[in-house]
Amino acid sequence: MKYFLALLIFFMLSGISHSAELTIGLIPEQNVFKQVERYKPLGDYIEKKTGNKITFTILSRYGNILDNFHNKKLDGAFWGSFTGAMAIKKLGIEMLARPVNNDGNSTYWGYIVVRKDSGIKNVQDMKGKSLAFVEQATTAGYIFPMAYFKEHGVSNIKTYFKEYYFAGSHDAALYAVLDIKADVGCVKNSMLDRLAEKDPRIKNELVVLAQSPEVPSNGLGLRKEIAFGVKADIKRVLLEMEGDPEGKKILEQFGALRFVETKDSDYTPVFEIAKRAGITLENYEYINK
Amino acid sequence: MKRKILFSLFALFLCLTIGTATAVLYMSSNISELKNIVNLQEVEQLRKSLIIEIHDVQAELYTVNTPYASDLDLIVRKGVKLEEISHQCTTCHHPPKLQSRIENVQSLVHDYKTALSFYITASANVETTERLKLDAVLKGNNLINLTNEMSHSASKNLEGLTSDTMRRLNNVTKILLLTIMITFFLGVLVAVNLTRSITRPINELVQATRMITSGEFGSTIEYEDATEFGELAEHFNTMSTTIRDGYQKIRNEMEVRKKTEEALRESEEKLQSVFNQMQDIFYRTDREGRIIWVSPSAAKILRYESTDELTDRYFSDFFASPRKRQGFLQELSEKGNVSNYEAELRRNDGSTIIVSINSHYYENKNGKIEGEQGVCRDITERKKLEEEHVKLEKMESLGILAGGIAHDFNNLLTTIVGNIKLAKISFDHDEKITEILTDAEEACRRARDLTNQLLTFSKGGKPIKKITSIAEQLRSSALFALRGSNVICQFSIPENLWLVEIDEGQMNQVIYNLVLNAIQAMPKGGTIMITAENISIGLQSRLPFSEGTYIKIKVSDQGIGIPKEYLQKIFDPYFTTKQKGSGLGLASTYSIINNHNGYIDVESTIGTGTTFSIYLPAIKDRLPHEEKKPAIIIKGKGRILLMDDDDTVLMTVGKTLKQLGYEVELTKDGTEALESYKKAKESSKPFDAVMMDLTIRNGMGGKETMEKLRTIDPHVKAIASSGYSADSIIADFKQYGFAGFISKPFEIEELSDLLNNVLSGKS
Repeated sequence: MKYFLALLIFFMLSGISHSAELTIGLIPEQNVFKQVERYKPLGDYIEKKTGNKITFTILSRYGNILDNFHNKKLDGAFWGSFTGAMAIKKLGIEMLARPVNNDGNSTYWGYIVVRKDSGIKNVQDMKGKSLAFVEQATTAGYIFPMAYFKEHGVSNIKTYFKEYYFAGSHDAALYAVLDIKADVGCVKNSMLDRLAEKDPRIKNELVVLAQSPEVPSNGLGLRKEIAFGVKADIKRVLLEMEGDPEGKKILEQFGALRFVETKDSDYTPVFEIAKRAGITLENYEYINK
Repeated sequence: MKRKILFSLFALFLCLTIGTATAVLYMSSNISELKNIVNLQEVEQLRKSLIIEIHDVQAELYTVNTPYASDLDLIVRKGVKLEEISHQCTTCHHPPKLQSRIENVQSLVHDYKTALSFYITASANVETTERLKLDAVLKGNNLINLTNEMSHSASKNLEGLTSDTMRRLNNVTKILLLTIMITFFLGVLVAVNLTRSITRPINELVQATRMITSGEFGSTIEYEDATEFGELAEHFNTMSTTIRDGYQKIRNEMEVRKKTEEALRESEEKLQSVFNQMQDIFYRTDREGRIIWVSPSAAKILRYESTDELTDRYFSDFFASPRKRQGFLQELSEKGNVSNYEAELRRNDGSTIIVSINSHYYENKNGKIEGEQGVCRDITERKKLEEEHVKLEKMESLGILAGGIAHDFNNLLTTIVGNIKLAKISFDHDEKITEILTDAEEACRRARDLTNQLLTFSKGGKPIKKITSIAEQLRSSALFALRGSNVICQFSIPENLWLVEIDEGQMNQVIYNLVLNAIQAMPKGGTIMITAENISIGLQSRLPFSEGTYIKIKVSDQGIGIPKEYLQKIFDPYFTTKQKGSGLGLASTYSIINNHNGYIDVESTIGTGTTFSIYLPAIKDRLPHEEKKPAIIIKGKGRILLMDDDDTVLMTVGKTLKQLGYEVELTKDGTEALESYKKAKESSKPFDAVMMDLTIRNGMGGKETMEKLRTIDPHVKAIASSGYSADSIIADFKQYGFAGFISKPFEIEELSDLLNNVLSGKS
């Protein structure tokens, strides 16, 4: 009887975990070409190890991923910390795993940067300057700076700054400051560090004025309805990548040390920052204006 | 020839090499140029693809954020393709200038992609957005311009290079064509020359080999030159001559061998034939005594399927008696040979044969004993005949003894019977004495029958036949045999049974033997059935004797029966199944019936009983047997000369004759009788009849005396008497001049009747 049950469970599991076709959304964290280039090998690896076909689709806006999740028939996405938090709340997404960056952190934080030669030292110096956000639906690229500015006496950014706009990606915002197309920029530390490795101007010419608390790095979350076996397989493959020579190589290309398990509670800091910024997530309009 | 071929090939090779080398040298200088052309062509192709892709992507710039905008994934794929194209040529070995321009293009593509992404993802006021768009458009245009410029200069370069290279390639073609033509003509020249040099001697060789193949050994060719063909022709001629000589030699040898083999085969066949027909066993063993060869007759004699069953077995194993085997081996080892050694060998079926063995050791070339060989002669038949001969001799002497005893006994009986008769005559008034004397007379009759049987057994002689009915004899003989046994006898004999011509004494013996056998077959008692019937045998009969009328006598018992395999042997002499039987009973029965022109047969069923059937020719047309004359004494007159060596017989018969009214003179042997007869004849009182015993001990017997008497008196009337019926005279007494015969013991009535007949001339 014992063996029979074991056999039954095995067949059920193997039946559930039978190959699926998953469409995974990618947010324009950086230059869309680079973003696709970065995730492609990881998708191929998951596909090879689990037998599930993985197709990535890139979105031009962070917020679009929440609005178009059902339209685009997405099964999941590598969520940013803010979109992830929103997805848990609004779409009931189940978070599986997130990467540990090369610096050993599975979190990131936001920076407010200016050029060294801009003479800007604080919020007051920013008055009448131009500002490059990343996206309205990003923690580092909008929520944190909004909280920071609010805490530093800026009640209305429209009047405080000469101009502000949403660069769409962290590298775009960073290069806007570096190329003097904006005076103040918002960027996540992990992106800054990665770009700085290839472009020394970033460290030499830019200065960080503010830093946000840590929030979880961009992790993979899937629809609840996806078969338990499929989710379990993918999660297992991601968590065990570090021990597999082939997986290790993919991790190196991806720019991470390993993947760690992610829970809903990991997103608590995001809600706290939003609170600081005076944002109510339940009716937050995350589309850029 | 080899040198000629090598030189020709070398010339051809040289010509081809010079032509090809020139073409190759010329060609190699063109190869690098060709590579450049190919590179340029590749670059040109890529550039075209690049321009198309850039134009394609540039178009997207104007549709971003409009309903006509392409899917971002599509734009990304185009961007990726753009980059792939720009990187495709990085592995080629372009000139440094070209390489740097390609790298420039790659860098521009990278920048263009970044600008494109920034523009697509940005959300800003119109001014900023336009700035970002312009940035991307400018980078795209720069890229197109640079690519077009590269394309233009490359095309020019390519054109010049191509025409130059084509010209050189034409030159290479010309060189190669010339080389091929020269080589071809040279090759034809060489081929014609070589073919001529090769085919002529080969044709001659082929012709000569054909002749050899068709049997003309020794055929030669006349070709001569300094090349290998000349040498080949020389060797060929030598080889052909050698083959002819060798063939002749082999043929001679084969003929000799064939004759030898034929002679050998004939000899072997003869030898085999001799062995096959041999009645003796020839054998040969190895040192251990195992048979290694044996003649085919051995298998037949010892009843094996083939000699293979005999080989490898120890010869001594065939000895039936271990003692004999031991003796044979001992004698052989002591003397080295064995002569006329008689032993029994056991056959395959368990039966044995007696053989006489002559055997000796045989040696190899070095004088070492290799084994034993010898001959076994089957002497079983001879031994059997010898044994039978001994038996027969024994029987003969027994017969003589029995005959002698019977003779003496009959003489005694003659005296007793005669005296009893005389006593009866003397006391015929006294009934009591007469009765006693009659009983004594009856006992004497039975005693006479016994002596008769003894005599028949001893001589087995010719039957003294007379026509009679066998009915009474069947009863009396059977009852005589039954005496003292627990067996009873039933008879079924018809009144009208035909007569037969038989020797009563011998027939008595037949019936006695058959009844005795029946009694012995029923040790616990039982009933014997004796039947007699008249039968006529027709031509269709299955019985093995001629047609006619017969009487059939059957003697059946309820005994144990005779096994089927014995039925055919029971009439053979000395065959018996009884422990104390002589094996003569049924043999003499068969012989007696045969002497009566009859036939005896036997049927038997185990557990049920045995029936013997006797067929005797019947006398049907004769008158029925005369009524036996009443026993009366006929008195007579006359002088009788009586001769007998037994005094008591002489005295008794003398008295009897006197009682009958005759005058008697007694003599003891032939000499005495002849003397008396002569004397009487010469005197006035000759004898009227003579009565002589045929057997006189130590004196002249009746037969010889009769011969002499007949010389004295050819009309002599003589009666022969004998107590020993083996004498051949008895059956044909008339042939010897006797007028009558009387066998001892006889009765007075019988004697008076015979004398009366003889003297009256009836007999």
